[in-house]
Amino acid sequence: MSPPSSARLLRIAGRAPSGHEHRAAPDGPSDVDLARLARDRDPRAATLVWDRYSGMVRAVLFRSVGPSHDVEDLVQDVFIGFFKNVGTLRDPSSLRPFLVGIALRTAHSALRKKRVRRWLHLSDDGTVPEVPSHDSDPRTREALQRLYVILDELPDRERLAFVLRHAEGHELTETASALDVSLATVKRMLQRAEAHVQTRAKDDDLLSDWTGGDDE
Amino acid sequence: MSDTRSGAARRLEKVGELMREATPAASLQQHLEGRARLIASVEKIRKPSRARPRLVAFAFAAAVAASVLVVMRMRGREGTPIAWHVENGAASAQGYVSIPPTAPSARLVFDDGSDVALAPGSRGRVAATTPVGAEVVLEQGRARVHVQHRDHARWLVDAGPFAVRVTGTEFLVAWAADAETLDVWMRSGRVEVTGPVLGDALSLSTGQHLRARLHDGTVLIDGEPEPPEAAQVTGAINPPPAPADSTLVVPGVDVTGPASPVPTGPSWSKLVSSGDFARVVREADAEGVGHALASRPLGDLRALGDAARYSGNPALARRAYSAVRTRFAGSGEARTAAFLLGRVAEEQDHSNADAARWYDTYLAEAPGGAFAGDALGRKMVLVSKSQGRDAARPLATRYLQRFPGGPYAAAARDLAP
Repeated sequence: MSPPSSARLLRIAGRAPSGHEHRAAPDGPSDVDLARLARDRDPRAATLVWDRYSGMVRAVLFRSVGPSHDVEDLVQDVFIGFFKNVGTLRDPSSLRPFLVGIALRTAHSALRKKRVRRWLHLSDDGTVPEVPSHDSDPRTREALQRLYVILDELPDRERLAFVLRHAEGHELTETASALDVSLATVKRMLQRAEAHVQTRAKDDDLLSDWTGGDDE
Repeated sequence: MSDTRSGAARRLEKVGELMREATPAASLQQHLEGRARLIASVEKIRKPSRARPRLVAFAFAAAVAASVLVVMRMRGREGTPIAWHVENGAASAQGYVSIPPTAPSARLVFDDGSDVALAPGSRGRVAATTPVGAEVVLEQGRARVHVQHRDHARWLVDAGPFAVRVTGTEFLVAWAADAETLDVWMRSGRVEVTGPVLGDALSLSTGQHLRARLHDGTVLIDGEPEPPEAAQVTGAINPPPAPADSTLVVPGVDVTGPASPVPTGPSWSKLVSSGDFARVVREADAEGVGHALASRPLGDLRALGDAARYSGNPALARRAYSAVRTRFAGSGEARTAAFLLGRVAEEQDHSNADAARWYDTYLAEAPGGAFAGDALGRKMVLVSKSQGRDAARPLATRYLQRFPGGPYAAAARDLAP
C-alpha cells in the first residue's frame, strides 16, 4: 500500500532540489499576490517568482527530460512562458500548477526535439551521454542512466505522467490535471508506464538491485 | 498478492527516490545568473514592440521598417545594463561585497549616478543590473542608498524577506538578520516596502522611519531620527539633510507626515499610500469619527483603519475595520479586515487570544486568501508562545503543507521537523 499522500509530499518537499529554496522561503507574498504582481507587470515579480519556483521548475524539467539535457535554457523558457501567459491564469492561487503545466509542455517539446535529433543522428546513436549528476556515487549515476534508457522507451506523455506521480509525488488528480487528461486516462497511462518500468528494471541487474530486487 | 503489490509499490517508490536524489541542485551562481537572465527577459516583455502583425497598406511598409530600425537603434543604446564598481572595497565574481567591522564603509558606485554605501560589518551584493536600475541585496548590516532619479528608473533593495522599491530617493536601510528586524530611515523621496507582516505595500516618504520585526510581527512607522552610527555610512554624494528637516516624534504615539505639502483633497487611500496617516486621522476627527464610520465608502474605511494602525491608534483601527466588516459584510475587504483586526490585537493590544481568534476567522472566511499564509503563520507563533511547541505542531505541519516556501516555513520546520 502506498504511504499517505501528505506524508509523501512532505518528504519530497523536504528534499527540495534547489539549494536556494531556503533563500526564497522568507518571501512574503502569497501565490495569489505573486500572480497579481506578475499579471500587473510589477518589476519585483520576476525576482520573487524565480526565487520561489525556479528550484521546483528545474527539478520537474530535469526529471522529465533526463540527465542528458542541460535544463537551464528550458527553465528560462518556462518562466518566460509564464510571464507571457500569466494573463490567462484565471485562478491566481493556481500559480504553482500553472507553472508545472508550462514546465511539462516545455519538457514535452524538448523530448520531441530529442527524438528528432536522434532520428537525424545528431546525437550518438540515441544513447544517453554521461550523467552530469551532483551525486558522486558512480553506482547511482549508472542506475540513473539505465533508468532513463528505460524511460526513453515510453511515449512522452506516459513518461511525464510517471515522473509527476513517482518523482514529483503528485496525486492522481493533480497528474491528470497537469497533463490535461481525465483521471481514467491518467490511470491507464500510469499502469502502462509502471508495468514497463517494472519489467525492464527487473531485467536489469543494477536497477533491480537498486530498487530492492525481486522481493515477492 | 498484496505482498506482490506492496513490493511493486516499494520498487516504484525507490525509482522515484533515485530520480529525486539524482536531481542536482542549482549552484548559487546558476541561481543568480538565471534570475538576472529572467529579469532581463521580463523587462523586454514588459516593453513589447508595438509593431503591428499585419499592415493593411503596402505603402506604409517602408515607413514602418524605418521606424523599427530607429526603435532598434534606440533600444541598442538603452539596452546596456548599468555598470558598477566598488570604492574602498572589492566585489567577488558574483557581486558579493563584505565589509570587515574595522574597515571604513565601502561604496557601490553605479554609472547612472546612484550609489550604495555599505557600513562596516555589512554584507551585500548586486544581484542584477538592468538598463534602468539594479537589484541590491543587503544580507546583513546597514546601507545608505542613493538612487539617482530618472524616468522609468527601477531599483530594488532586498533586505532579508523585505523589498524596498525605489525610483529616485535617498534612504538608510538596516537589516539585522539575527533579530529579523528591518529599519528604513527616509532622507528624501519615496519608497515602497513589501514583505511579510506589512500586509499591503507600504509607502514611506521623507522623514519617516519604518521598523518591521518579523519575530513578533510588529510594524511601526514614526519619525525616529537616524542612529548616530549612520554617519559611518554617509560616504555620500549628497549630504544628509540638515537636522531641522528631520522631525523627532515619540515612537508609537504620533506620526508626522511628509515634509512636503500634500495637495488638498486627495482620497484617504491616496493619503495612506503617501504615508500621511496623521492627516487621515485628523480629517476623520474633524468630520466626526462616528459619522465617518457610518457614511464613508469602503475604501475610506479601510484607509482609516490602516492610518490608525500605522499611527499607533489601535482603538480607532479596530473601529474602522469593524465598520468594514459590518457595513460591507461578505466583501473581500471584510475578510481582509478580520486579518487586520488580528494584527491590531497582536501588535498593539498585545492580546494573543483575540489575535488568534481573528486569524481563525480570516482563515475560515478566506482559506485561499492573500493573507492566509500570514494568518496561519502568526497563529502558529502565537500558539507556540502561549501553549507550547506541542500545541503548535499541527499548525506547523499544516503550514508546511500549504506554504512550504512561506515566511514562517523555518519556524514551522523547527516545530515539526
